[in-house]
Amino acid sequence: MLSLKGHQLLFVWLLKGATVQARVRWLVALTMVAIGVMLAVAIHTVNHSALASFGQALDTVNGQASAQLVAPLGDMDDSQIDVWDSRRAGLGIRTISPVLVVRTDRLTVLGLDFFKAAFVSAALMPSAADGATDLFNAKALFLSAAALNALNVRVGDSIVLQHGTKSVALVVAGEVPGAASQVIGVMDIGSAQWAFKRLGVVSRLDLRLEDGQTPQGLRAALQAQSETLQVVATQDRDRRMSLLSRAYRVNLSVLAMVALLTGGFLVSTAVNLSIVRQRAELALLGVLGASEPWLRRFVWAQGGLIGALGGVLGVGMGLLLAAFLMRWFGGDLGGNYFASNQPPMVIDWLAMAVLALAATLMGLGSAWLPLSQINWRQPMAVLRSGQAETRVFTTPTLKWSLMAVSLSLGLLLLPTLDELPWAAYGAIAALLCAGLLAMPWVLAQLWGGLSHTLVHLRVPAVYRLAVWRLAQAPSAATPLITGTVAAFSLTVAMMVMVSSFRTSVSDWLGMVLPADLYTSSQAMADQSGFDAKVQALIASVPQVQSVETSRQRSLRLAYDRPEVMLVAKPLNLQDPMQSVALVGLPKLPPEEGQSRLVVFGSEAMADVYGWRAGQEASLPLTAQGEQRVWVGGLFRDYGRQHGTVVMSTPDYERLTGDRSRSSVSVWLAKGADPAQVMAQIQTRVQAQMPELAHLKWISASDIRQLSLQIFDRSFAMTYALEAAALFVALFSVAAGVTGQLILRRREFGVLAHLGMSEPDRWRLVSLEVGLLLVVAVVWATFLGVLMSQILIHKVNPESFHWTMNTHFAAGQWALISALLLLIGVQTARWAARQGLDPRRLAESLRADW
Amino acid sequence: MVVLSLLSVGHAYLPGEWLFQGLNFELVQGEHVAIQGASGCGKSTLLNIMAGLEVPACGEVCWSGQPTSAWSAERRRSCRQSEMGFVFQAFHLLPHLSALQNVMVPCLLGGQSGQACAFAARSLLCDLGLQKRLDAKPASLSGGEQQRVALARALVHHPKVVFADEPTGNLDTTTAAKTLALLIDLCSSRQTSLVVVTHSDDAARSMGRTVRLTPEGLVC
Repeated sequence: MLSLKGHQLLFVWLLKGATVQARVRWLVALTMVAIGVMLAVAIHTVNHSALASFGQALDTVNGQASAQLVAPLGDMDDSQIDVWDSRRAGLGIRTISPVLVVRTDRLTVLGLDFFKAAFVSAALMPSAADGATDLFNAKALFLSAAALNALNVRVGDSIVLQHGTKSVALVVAGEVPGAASQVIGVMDIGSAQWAFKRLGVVSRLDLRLEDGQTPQGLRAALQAQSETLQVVATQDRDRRMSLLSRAYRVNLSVLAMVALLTGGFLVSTAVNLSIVRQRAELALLGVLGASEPWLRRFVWAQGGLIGALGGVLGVGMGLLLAAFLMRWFGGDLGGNYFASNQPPMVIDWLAMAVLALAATLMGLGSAWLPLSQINWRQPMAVLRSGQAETRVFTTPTLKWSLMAVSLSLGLLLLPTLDELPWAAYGAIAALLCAGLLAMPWVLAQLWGGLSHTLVHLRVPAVYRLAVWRLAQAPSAATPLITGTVAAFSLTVAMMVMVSSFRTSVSDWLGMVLPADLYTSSQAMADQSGFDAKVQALIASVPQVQSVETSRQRSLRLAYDRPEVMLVAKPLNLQDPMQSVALVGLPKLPPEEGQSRLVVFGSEAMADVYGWRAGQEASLPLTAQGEQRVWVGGLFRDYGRQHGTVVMSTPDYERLTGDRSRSSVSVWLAKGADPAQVMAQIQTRVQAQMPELAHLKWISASDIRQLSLQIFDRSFAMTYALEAAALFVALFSVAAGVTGQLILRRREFGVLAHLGMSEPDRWRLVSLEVGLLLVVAVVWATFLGVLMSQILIHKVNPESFHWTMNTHFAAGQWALISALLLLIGVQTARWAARQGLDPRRLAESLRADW
Repeated sequence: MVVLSLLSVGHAYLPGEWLFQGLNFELVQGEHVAIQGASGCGKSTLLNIMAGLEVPACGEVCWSGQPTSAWSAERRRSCRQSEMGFVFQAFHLLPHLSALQNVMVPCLLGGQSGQACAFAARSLLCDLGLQKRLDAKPASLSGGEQQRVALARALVHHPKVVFADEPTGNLDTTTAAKTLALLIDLCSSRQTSLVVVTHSDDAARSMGRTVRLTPEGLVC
């Protein structure tokens, strides 16, 4: 230690002394920063791992071909293989490998032309147990190691897969060594078409390009020829996959940063109190000749040390939490974007470093406030005043607050950046800063006014003293409740947003579920299967009033974006509101244009593809090219964030020739019992169409309940993060009160000598903290409601492409507010009992320090 | 040799409300001076002006013959660190440092090695009879012991002048007399000038010269 230079040695001594002196407060602050970092690290790591695993899975299914040709509606005629084979040379394509993708109930099966696939996507080539002849066996299915494990089968076993309404029996003939970690199966394309009744259909054409040709070059060449098929490169797939869940992931990360930010306020409180205690020491060092930069560095070091240690600890704790979450909940944090498998943990070390650095910077930033309060030019004045409050925040913070409000308003006018609402998040942050900066002014006005009012009233001395103290020392009160205001305002904002969202979803479900019974959408999504026979069978069940069928298909509108959902269903164009949950009035084509094809788009279609009600758009519905359609209106769709298009069944059939249906809605006679009718349908189906026996039927009320359960689950992580932020905020109150009581021991010592009883002293502290928390709750609610409006009207539409109506859950708010006040006041009372025992108060009047 | 001189110095915290003005004063190397005056007359302010901790509203303060009005804050700090020592009524020891470490602080701020600082501080504390209290924290020291540690801190780096503001104000009469005698002895043996602000006539009498601060100036 003695090898350090003199001033370095002193620096270390003082830093050690400051740490030891306020070790509990430092430890609490450090823990709170660590909790904030931990949450951010855990969420990022789980999302990152899930995304990496998802990406790997996608790469495996795609066989890592350098490019693919896909049709907007997914499937294409296998005559396209010969067409494209003949165009190969002119387009710079070396080999074309057709692929049929079949999604079954247990795994995805890829039908391959093994002769072609060996050159284009070698990783998907199987290894047959009994030699090459098995490759082309009509029942031969080759499974990856992960699939063998997941399905608990071995080579040679029989396996039954369900595809739509069909059951297909196959034999596991070997493995797919190149796709060991993903749950997939591979079989000969001809066999797959036959087995799954997809004759003449292929899903995509995988391409191996000539040296020198690029996917972009091929795309440009095809666009010049007005080709309807789209070229999809690996990076397009990555972007598409990222877009699927990105808004949700960013939303969670921002929430995690809120917890980190709240931890930052606690560091600020801890450092502030430490510096107030050290103010006289710093002034003494200044008198003895320590330079101002040296003293500033000492203060910065305290904040930076808490931040850095909290950051490092938080990264470690976060990785442990991520491992725990992934072990028990898989890679999905509630957004339902990732399958609930257990992806291997992938650590993003750059992000870890950034988060640890953010914590350090936050710690350094927390030293700014106390530094600004020290008058370095007059150390003797500071030395005489000791720890007493010498400066009160006045107009500068109000000026900065107004500037932050202006910044917030300015940011609200900005559009999204890379399709994410960064400006809106910035506006929320600026609004929060504005609210916090205005607090000293608000408190000064409030307590000043109250103290004048009390002059004319007869109130107990404790009340008068509490208000006098608050009026005289607003800058001591501000750091005490800053963290609480920040955390509670964000909690209110999220609470209002989630309650508005939930109410809107509930109302929406009422509108989109007009029938009484539905087939489970999970079982039939994007698959055809119901024919007229099935409809007739269901309609013949007693108490079934009517049956309506619809067709749902994925429709790819852009090569690098997630597919939109195309829904063909019976539409009442005379009164479209009965068929779709329109936002605003329908805008049908004028009289002379009634022959136009009318469709309805979800709000995402307007945001992502620029659709406007009452205007024309185009859809790639036919092999010949784009079809002009009239957008009759926009509707809310909380079920699909990437876009939905609804058109009438006759129009769909006319354009595509597809007469199949993928879901059934059933209306019951008045007074019928849905459970009883459901049982009757299942019995009849079992008897007459056993292949449909596996279909799940569900009542509208069950769908509604299930949907709201899924909704609540998807916000569980949000609630957990908000609770963490509030927990941290309450700790900041506890740490702040404890710290201030130590500073105020002499004041309480004098009051004790003047005759104030012990319970009255506790009451005084509780009253001060209670009054501050009431103001914190009211102010935070005001800020929170404003922020919720940004979330509802900017962040949500820009992230998820849906709007909602504001709903304030007053009961929930009252409960959380009451809990916060109760716990806060009890904490203060506890701190008062600890810090104000009579022996210490007597000592405080004798001691100089 | 004159170490410190004040030329027509005046000071006011509010415009027109002079604490004192037209003040002239010289402090010779090794001289001991007591400053007395009524409460609130500006004794402590005068001490701060002498030490360069405050800038007078008018007049000039010269340190070793050099005018200081044009000095930068850094130059003042550097001069204060190397050529001045301070003793306060409330001792102002750093609470989490030991007695030895407290005394080492001025040397450490001067950039000396830890070993050299420890040697100088230890020998001075032993001279003051605190050899058994080197590792004690201020809270465990008596008032007299704390002030002896403060004296050691003021002198450990061999300053030209020690400024003491009511150095015995917090001590009983006997301890106060002993502490002041120690301070005077130490300063005398090191040829260090001493300026003491005090209300005590006994303390003032033990100094070489006593001046009384009035609004019109210093009266001998």
